[in-house]
Amino acid sequence: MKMPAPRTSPQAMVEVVNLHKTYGPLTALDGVDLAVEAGQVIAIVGASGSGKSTLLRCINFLDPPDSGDVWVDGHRMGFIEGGSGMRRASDREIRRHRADIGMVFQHFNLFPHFTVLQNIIEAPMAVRGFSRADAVATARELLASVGLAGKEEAFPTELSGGQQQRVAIARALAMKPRVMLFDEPTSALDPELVDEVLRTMRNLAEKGMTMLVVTHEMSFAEDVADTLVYFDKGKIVEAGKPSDVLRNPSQPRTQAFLQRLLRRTL
Amino acid sequence: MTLDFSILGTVWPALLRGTLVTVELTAAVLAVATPGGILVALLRGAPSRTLRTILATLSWICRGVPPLLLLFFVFFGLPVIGIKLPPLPSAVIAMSLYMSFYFGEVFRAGLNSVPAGQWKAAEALGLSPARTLIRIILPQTIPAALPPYISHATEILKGTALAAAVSVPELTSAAKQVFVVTFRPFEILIAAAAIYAILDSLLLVLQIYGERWAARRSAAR
Repeated sequence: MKMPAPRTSPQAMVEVVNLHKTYGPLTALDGVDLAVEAGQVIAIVGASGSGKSTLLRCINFLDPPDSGDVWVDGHRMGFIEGGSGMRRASDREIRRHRADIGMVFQHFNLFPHFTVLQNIIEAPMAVRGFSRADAVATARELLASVGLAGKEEAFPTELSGGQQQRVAIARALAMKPRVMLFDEPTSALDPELVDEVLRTMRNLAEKGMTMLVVTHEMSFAEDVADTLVYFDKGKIVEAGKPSDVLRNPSQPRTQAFLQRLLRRTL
Repeated sequence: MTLDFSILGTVWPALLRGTLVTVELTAAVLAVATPGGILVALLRGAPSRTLRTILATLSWICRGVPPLLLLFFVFFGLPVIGIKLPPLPSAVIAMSLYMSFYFGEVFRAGLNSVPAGQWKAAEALGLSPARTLIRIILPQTIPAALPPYISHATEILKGTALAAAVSVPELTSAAKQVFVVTFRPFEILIAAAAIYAILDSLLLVLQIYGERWAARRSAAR
């Protein structure tokens, strides 16, 4: 069994070490290193196809990386600490660890045949073994915290996009995750619905949730994120304080990207 | 000629027994061929090329020969290699085999109609593949799969008449047995047809109910 590569930030909530991932001839991740401290918010920006979403899917092993390591809360994803060292985790074990990592998708991906409440309680009951009463109580609290109290019995199709995304956030939070991954959570929303979702995410950040957010919302990145990471061709080419990266990008590729983005927003 | 349905007053117990056998046989075939069809649909998407080829060949054979031939094969053919089955189980096996491959096509289309994001979302929540299939994916195949499913189920219901060929006492053969002794084929066959029509309607009610269930949940997003 290959030994894990040395970690530079063993205390980090999430640490990614030399991550590689290819799809056939396409290189999606080309040696990514990233450490996220507990309670930090990382904004990940970059052109589409630059590997941002792949990074999120590799972190929770929806798409296992080809090589490199992912550590979440001191646990090496995809492996189990055995008596005689590390062994590869079974699918069931991977699922259990994946449940510690919440994920929110661009297109919400709520289960359309379930009510809002059923959407939220399904996994806590099935995966975490919560009783129905506990799961429902948690779900109601979460719905209230995302501003959707009273929508328990609605079906997703009866909600606006912004409301659906807030339900999706509540659904992920119901698993009591250590980390939340957001994959372009506002990109599919009408402009007037973006703010309500960003507000929910901001609240979550203020409560101390560790978050990795792939986004094109630069004002959100600047206001909420502790670190902004710029991705290009499967690599992190620039990382730093969001205001610094946004105002004085040191890399020409970052400058070009930000200018394109700016032109589109104006 | 005048129709006189009073004959039904005497023969109804025989028709009722035939009806029960028909319902029983239809239910048994649906109970076997539905999971069979889901399995076929899932295996058709399996990564193993060999498996897919075997399945495609079996599907081609089972859908390409007359169902009656399959039934004869099970009832008369299998005893030659030491597997001797009574008429009713033989009919269930032959028809389930045949229908599993039809249902396989129905569920394949149904599964393809569910966006890949649904699998991903369930996976991200840590749900097992089996639970995801049963709780999340299959219910969402209903809008696409239910109409062809019910139309195939109607075929099964009518197709149970074939089982008469291996002396399963289902409705059509019961009707025949009754009219050859009463000499009232018209009245008795009309009565049998009416019973089939009622059973068909029950399947349609199921379809309407299922479509109504799905309508609120699959409105345009």
